[in-house]
Amino acid sequence: MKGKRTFILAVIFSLAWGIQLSQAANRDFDKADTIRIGSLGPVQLPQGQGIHNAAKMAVDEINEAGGIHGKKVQLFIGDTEGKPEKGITAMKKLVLEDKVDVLIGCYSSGVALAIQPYLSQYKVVYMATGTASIDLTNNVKKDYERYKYFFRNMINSDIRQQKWAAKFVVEFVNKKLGYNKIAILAENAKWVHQYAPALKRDLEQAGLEVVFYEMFDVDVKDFSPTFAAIKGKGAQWIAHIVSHAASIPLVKAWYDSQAPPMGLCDVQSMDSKFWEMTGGKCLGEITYNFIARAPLTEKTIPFWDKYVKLFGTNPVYTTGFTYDGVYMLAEVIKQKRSLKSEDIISGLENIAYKGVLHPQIGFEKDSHDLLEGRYVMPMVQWQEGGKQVVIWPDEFKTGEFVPPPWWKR
Amino acid sequence: MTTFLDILVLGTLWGSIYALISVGFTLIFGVAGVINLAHGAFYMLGAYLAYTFIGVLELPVILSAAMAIGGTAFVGMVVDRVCIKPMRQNHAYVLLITLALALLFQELMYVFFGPHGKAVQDFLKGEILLGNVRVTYQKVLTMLASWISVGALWAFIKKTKTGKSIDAVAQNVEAAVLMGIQPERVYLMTMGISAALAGTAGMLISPILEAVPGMWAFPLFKAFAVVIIGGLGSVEGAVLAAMLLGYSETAVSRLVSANYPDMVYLVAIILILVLRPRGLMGKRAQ
Repeated sequence: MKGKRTFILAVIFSLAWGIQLSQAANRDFDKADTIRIGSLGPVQLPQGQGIHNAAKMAVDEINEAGGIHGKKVQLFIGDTEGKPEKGITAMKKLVLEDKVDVLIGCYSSGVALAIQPYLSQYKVVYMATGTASIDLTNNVKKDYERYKYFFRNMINSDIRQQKWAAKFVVEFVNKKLGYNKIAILAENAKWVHQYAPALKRDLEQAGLEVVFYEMFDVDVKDFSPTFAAIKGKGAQWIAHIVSHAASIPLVKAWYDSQAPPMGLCDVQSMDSKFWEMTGGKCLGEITYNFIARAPLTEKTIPFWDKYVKLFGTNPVYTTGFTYDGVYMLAEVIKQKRSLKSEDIISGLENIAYKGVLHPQIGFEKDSHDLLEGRYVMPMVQWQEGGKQVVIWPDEFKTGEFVPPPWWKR
Repeated sequence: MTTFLDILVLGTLWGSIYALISVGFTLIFGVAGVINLAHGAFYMLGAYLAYTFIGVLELPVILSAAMAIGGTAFVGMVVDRVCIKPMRQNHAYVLLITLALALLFQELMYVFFGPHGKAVQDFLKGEILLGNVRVTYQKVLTMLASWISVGALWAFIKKTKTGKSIDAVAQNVEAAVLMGIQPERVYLMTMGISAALAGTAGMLISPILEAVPGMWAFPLFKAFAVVIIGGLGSVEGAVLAAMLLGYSETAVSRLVSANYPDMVYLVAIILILVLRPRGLMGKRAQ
């Protein structure tokens, strides 16, 4: 008898819990006082601060313009600390306690991959704005019903960033500067696992010689022997791919070793404080960024200037994606007049939004990855006095490439 | 030739730093029997104090260096008096309290300086050429200062009366007491010296790497490796093991991959524990 009662209680509890989960998002639009957006990101890191700042900026603008059908938008912050387990906790807190209707943000593909399976459990739509691994959108493609709640308006690393990187090295480094001996120095992280080998393959297919190739552990502290080895191989250009590794020691060792010019992708170097953080030793380093004070669209420069005015720092790469992402979610909710995840998903699958980064942002229907289109990642070089100068592509450049002071062609 | 010089220069640099860190670690164990898990935190403190005095307050380098070393020594002595002394004989307690202190220091750095690395300017600008190998003055200074510090410690212990009291307590505390030496004063002084050496290492390396919360774990692991290989409690063994580790790690990093240097010390630890548990220069257990 006691066992039967326990069983019934367990069933009731499970049903109640299930109802609570399914009702976590998916509120009735007309009964909702406000529209609730949850912003995920590590609050102590510039990339996370960029997510939260850009989300706040977009939410404030939407509210100043009258909200969504008169309803104010509320922003809730979840601190992922850049760790998968903390990311899950932050996401659950946003969904279950703050009762957000949609999620946005996240820096680190590892964190987003940890969060992804919970989206179908809570039936909450999530727009990833700072995670690049193609595994995230491949999951949607492989199991649409389970992963359809996931969208990414950032440029994936494994194909799109990699193709752009190869284009830069071939067109600029090889054809314009005349270098053909390339060193690839990439961190061993999820977002680079397909990127680095594919870059090597593309460069070799283009006739360039990859004289040094290494995927280093993100815990490596001393890069001096690595740069000595690169010099020993006669490399003329270092294509580096770094986000989670210790970028400051890497750049210092590069400068102190007087190694060949280094330019491709260094996420920390996208931060305007990087000059100060390295004591100016990033002089000459090049990294692509996803945003620069250049007319990528007519909205880019006004966004940039307002962001600097509001937050006193240059926007990092996560800002543009997040700012656009909030507006896209708001547009779909407004258009559908609904907070139901199915409506938001169908709205996003058919959107064509003019943002600060792209003139026509949309998503692939099967993978929910960003539609291939006119995406631009300006190559930005650190120059004398800590200036960040766009050197490529030509239509957006704000200055010419200057080799590091020690480098003789 | 260039490859050999690369390994020689960078191996000497890292060997010197490892020696500086490990000598203090093994000294406090040899004298007071303390396995100090906060030793890496003193290294971190030295780096952050250097950043504060040089980078933030823009004080002269020599004054900043003296204050960073003195400050770390002072913190080490406070830790000994307040946290370790009450339960010095309880090894489990000492391990736990020093680990907690290391984590506390990490959080304090996180709160005061944020999670990002802080750059410390080179103390000396410029470089010299050894063949084709460029060596910055900062690296030369780091090597020289490390060796001077270790040499000064050796001279202090062997040649001065106060230093000999440390040696005496390390050899036989009861006999030292009978000779009129106060062990608690010796422990306090040794902790100060040990912390100062770690702080010096952190201060010297900060312009080459960065000051960042979490940097305390790396020197602690290296110190453990060095004292196990060199022999727990042996200063000479620590210096020898540190140099061997510096050269072998650099050679692996230069010739094979930057991913494998840590394998070197892990394999070395296992080999030593299996083949010669007392370490290269450790004394056989009675």
